[in-house]
Amino acid sequence: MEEIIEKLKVQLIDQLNLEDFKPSDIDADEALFDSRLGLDSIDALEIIVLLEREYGIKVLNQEDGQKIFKSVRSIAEHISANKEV
Amino acid sequence: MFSIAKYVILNSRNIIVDGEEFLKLDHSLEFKEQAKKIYQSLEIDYPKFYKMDNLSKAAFISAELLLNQHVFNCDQEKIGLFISNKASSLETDEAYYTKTFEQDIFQANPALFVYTLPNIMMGELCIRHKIKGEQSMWVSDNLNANFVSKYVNLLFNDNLLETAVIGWVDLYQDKPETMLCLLEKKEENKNLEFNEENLMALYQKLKG
Repeated sequence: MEEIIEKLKVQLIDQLNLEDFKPSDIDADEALFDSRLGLDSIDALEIIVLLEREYGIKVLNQEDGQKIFKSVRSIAEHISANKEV
Repeated sequence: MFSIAKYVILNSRNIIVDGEEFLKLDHSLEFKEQAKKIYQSLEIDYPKFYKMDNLSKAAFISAELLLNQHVFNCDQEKIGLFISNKASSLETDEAYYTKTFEQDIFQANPALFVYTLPNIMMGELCIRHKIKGEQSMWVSDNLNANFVSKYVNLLFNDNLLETAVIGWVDLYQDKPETMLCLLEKKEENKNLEFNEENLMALYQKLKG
């Protein structure tokens, strides 16, 4: 799990242009939205694209997205449970 | 009567604020890197900056320098924004097309897609500076100072606006060209009068 979390932090920083942040600045359990990270709805779309491209995972409904995108850890857990083998 | 209370010019060479050189720019850097350095030097805390396309970054930096000490003393609905440019959002349009369609497989790029309209750059300035009055974005080969000055003066004279930010914000092939002016009610013997001639003079200063 920790390996996925660290990889995900790097991917999120790159994909979402979080140029003010290093992976070590992001707590795996902190909120991604309405937080100091400043993510918005476009970033949510970018995360959906990232999950599909990098992990073959589709997020198809909004309610799932809200739970999955709560934190880096919740995304990592979703990847771990659903990643294409 | 309204006047040009302050102006900012930004191009590949330097940034000028009210006629004084504020910063010389490094030709060897891409604008994205240049913009990042300027943003950091201004010590602004606005992470959204990093997500903007280069056109919006050029506008954002110019507007920060124009409005950093400024407090609008009127309703937000009485603040206008009027910008022209030549290339619209073409730089980002091309980047979006290349990244999205000229790949082996179709790949969505939502963060790039949202900037494929110059109006988004206008929106970024409105959000940042709480501008809620009349706004227009015009695309033309050169600044039509005659039209812009008449149009904006009409809105002033009809009391639809009390102040405005106007100018030129263009960026293509990594070459930024911005000229932004803050317009306010004229104080006697102070500031440039807002008219076609003075607006064109600033535009020509930008074009160098």
